[in-house]
Amino acid sequence: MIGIAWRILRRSPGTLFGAFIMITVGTALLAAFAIVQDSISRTTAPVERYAAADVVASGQAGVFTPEAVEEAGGLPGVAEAVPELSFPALVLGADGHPPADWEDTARFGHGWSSAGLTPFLLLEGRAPDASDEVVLDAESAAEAGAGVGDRVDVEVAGTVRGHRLVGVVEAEAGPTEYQRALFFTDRRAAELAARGGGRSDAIGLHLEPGADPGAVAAALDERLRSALAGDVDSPSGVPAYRVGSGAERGELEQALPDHRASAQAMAMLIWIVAFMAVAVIGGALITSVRSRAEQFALLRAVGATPGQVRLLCLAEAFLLSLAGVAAGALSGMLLGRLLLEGFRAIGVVSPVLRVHYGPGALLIAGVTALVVGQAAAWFAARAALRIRPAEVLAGQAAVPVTRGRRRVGRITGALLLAAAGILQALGMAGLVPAVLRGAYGMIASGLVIVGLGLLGSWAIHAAARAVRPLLSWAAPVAGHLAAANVGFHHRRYAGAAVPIAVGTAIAGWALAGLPLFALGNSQDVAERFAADQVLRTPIVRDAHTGLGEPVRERLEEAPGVSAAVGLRELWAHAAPPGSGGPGGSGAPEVTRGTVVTGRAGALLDLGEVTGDLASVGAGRGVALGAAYARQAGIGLHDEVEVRTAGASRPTVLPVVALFERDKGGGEGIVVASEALRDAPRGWYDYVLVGEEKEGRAAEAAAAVLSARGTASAEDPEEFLRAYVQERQGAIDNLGTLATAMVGGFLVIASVNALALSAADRRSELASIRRIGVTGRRLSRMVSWEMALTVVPAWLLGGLATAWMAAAMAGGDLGAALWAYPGAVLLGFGAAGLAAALLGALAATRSALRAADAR
Amino acid sequence: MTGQEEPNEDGRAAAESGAAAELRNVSRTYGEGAAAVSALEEVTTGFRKGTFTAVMGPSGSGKTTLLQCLAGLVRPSSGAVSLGGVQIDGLPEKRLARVRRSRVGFVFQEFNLIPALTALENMLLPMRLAGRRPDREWVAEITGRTGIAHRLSHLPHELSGGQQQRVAICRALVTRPAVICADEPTGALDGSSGREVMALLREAVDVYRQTLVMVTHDPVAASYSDRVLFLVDGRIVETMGRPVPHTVAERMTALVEEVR
Repeated sequence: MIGIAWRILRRSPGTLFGAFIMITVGTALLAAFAIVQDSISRTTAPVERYAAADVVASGQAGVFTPEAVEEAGGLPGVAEAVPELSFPALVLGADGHPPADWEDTARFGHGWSSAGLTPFLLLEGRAPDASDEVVLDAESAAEAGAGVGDRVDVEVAGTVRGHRLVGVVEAEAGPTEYQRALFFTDRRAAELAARGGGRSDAIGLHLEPGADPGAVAAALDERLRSALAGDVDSPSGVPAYRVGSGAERGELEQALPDHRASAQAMAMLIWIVAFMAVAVIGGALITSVRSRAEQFALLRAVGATPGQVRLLCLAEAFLLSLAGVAAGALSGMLLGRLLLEGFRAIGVVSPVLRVHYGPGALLIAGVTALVVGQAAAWFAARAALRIRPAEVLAGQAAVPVTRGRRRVGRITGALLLAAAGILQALGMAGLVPAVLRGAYGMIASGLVIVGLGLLGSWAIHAAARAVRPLLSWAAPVAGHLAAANVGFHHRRYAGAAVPIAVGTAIAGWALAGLPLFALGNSQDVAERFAADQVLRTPIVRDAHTGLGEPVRERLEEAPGVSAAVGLRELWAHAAPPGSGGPGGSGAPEVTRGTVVTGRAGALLDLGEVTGDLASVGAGRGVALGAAYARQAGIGLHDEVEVRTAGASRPTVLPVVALFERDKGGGEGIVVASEALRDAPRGWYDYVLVGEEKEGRAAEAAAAVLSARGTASAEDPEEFLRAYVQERQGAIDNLGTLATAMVGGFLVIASVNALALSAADRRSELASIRRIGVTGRRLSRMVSWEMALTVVPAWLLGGLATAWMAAAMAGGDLGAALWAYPGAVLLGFGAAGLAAALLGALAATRSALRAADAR
Repeated sequence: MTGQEEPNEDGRAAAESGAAAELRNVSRTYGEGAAAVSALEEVTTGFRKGTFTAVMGPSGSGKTTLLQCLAGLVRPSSGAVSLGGVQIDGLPEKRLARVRRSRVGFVFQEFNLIPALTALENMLLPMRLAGRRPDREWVAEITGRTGIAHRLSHLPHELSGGQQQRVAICRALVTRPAVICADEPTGALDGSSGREVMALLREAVDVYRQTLVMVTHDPVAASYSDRVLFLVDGRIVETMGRPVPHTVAERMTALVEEVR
């Protein structure tokens, strides 16, 4: 059968051209995404700041205690351990604004004693010696237009302070490209960073000559791990710190965005494209099988067994896939480069990202495309085996479909779409089981694809029937014939049009998902606030730059302010003493913890509270979410061990309050900063302000925050509005853009299939012409057919998008409508229809010319 | 079983009766309930080895259904069909395909050649499906006799209609089947080509002792056969031996009138 398949492909390539195009497009997408994923995972940040350190440990703010630094210094082979503070710090311009690229290029403040980790060398001036003195790198000084001896304004943790510029430095290896550096005295840096207990953010090791950096790094990792008995990792496994040497040190500088999430999104996209490709290529192969029904009937008649027919279909698809993979891999390489360059141009990927053409990515794309081709061929073989040779050879319908079967398909399609929406809604609400958390989006997309596949043919049939009277009246010949054709051959048209529905739905879903995710995220944050003003700083590299304790203190002391509370969110865990950390037997999962400073009970809306929330603010106990406590089997007044990210030891505290609003246990702990004696302190994500009289909180905030700098104060409504926009911008939307591209490609592939199916109608068009229908009317008929095919498929995709958006918005139709990408989808549909019309008309003209030439 | 199917009990009885193929009380109904249409009703007939039978009747009389039941393309609703000693009506699809491959040859009105395969490849398709090597002498014999030996490397679209039908006849002969089923083999040909094709089919019976069953509307084509079965409403109403064109035509006209 492979021989026959080869001959069919070699001598009649036209019969499988549509499937070839689909495989090529599918492979190109797979290869492009695999290349992007591979490039992301291979890209490492360049080593700048820690160029002179042989081994570096770096992590979240204040993770290392002075004891840990001392122990690191005592490791065999270590000549010196240098503690390092690295915190966001901005030199403001003379106009009070930060530099234009401050969100793209990191700017860190450090203590002068750690300058040797680069090393930074003085170009002019001297080292800082007093708390109001600063040393800048040459680029920062130039940006601020300041020279040695001038005064410069520096913003750290929401407070702007004047400093005297006493020195200008430059890295020994030349200017750093991806970060700027500000140096304070060590004491001043520790005050500004406010890590508490002399903690530091990183440790740089200078090694003795001949020491092995890898061995020292391993020893350091082991030592540091044992010093973090009260620590918890994030659910995605991000540890509190990492140790590295050589090229690994670049990532540890934390100057560039972390694109691991993008790499994961790309890996998921590869799966989604593979699913879609099975549907799309399967559709094209089935179309090809139907157009060759007589050949398959003959093969069956002359004795081909079902197994041989199946083998023929698989062999055809395999050979076709080989050709498609070759063509697709080449275009995929080009597409991958264009994607990365485009993403870099609009700033959604790290500036250091470079395209990498590794054999692994192409191999993954090629093998996936071959497997996809075989899976699609399995569907085509099923279609071939349903051909009844006796009927086809006697000139009757190729594949009869019973009414009952159609109904089952429709109901199954609707149920699958419903299930996809419910799964997506549960996923957004964080209610899917843990095993499905990484995969529910992929499962839902699979359900949407299959659901639309089952509903597509019905939608086209129903639309053709519904508009037939109107069309017959409006265009008595062309419209009448088109409606009849599409109604009768709806399955054939559906094969080409369903990808339009799927593409529209997937692109629409991705585009609606980003704003809805940002909205849900922001509402989760805002609904816990019972404050009159919310102070915050912008989100840079996925985190708030942060507000310091001085801001909160000044607000609390301001006249007319009832309370000022600092909030910091981190991963946390609470369990009965002795039950161990996360993963211990009977221990609950890690949850989002809120660390508060100030009278939290006054300004946090946690729903119904049992117990005494005021004791939490005073540091006398911990408050647990009701659902979290229930899952962990913890009751009010029980003692628990509280672990938080970066803590040296767990803290034993009594449970003094249980609160209702904990997102099913996902946001289950509220604890005071004072209570966590063995954990690093950090800057606040938000400072909430309550007022005694209307307007006093806003006045106090305006007085405390400088008009210059990046911190802002908003009332809760303004906060929600602005925060949604900011979250939307901050969420890494590489995957969203790529998903929308997948939708666009599917529409193009589908339009191509429609045009090809028009080309396959030579004899049908010729016979219509013979009964006196002019070429012009035939063209109009084909145009109406395209409209009757593309529009219902597009509408179906649009409806599926609306359903998924409503599900993602948790039934909030206003939010779903707000997020619905109507304009983009309208453009999508119009472009698809225009392309289908042009393609089909060109194919029809060519078919008519060929028929005339006969 | 990969090669020839062994005759079963009913098949042996048929073989002993000298029939290459046999239908016994065969009925075939399409559709269900009120929409049911009976295409064949209780048809019993045999086709002796080395004979040529034409099947005629008005449109919708069940001619094609009879041929398809005989060839194992359609399963009868009731009754038994045996082919070369094998009762085929209850065989599973895979075994049925093997029976068709080895015991039935087909010639269709529209030739039904695979466009991507050359004349020779089309001809040898049943052998390829069976995984059997072709008998070179036999291939040379039948391609020589049908006059297409010089066109074997051509693709179907490079051949005339008559030549394509000769390829189809070779494809039917190549496995030396128990029966060749021909459905309107001259329907798509001009008169001259049609006569040549009918002469070849006659030779296949006379020279190679093939059993041939042919559905046709054409009294001239039917006159090449040894006997004609006339079908009306799914039943054999008459059998005519030694047919000549004008008597066949008269009988057909009469039958059509009766049906009206």
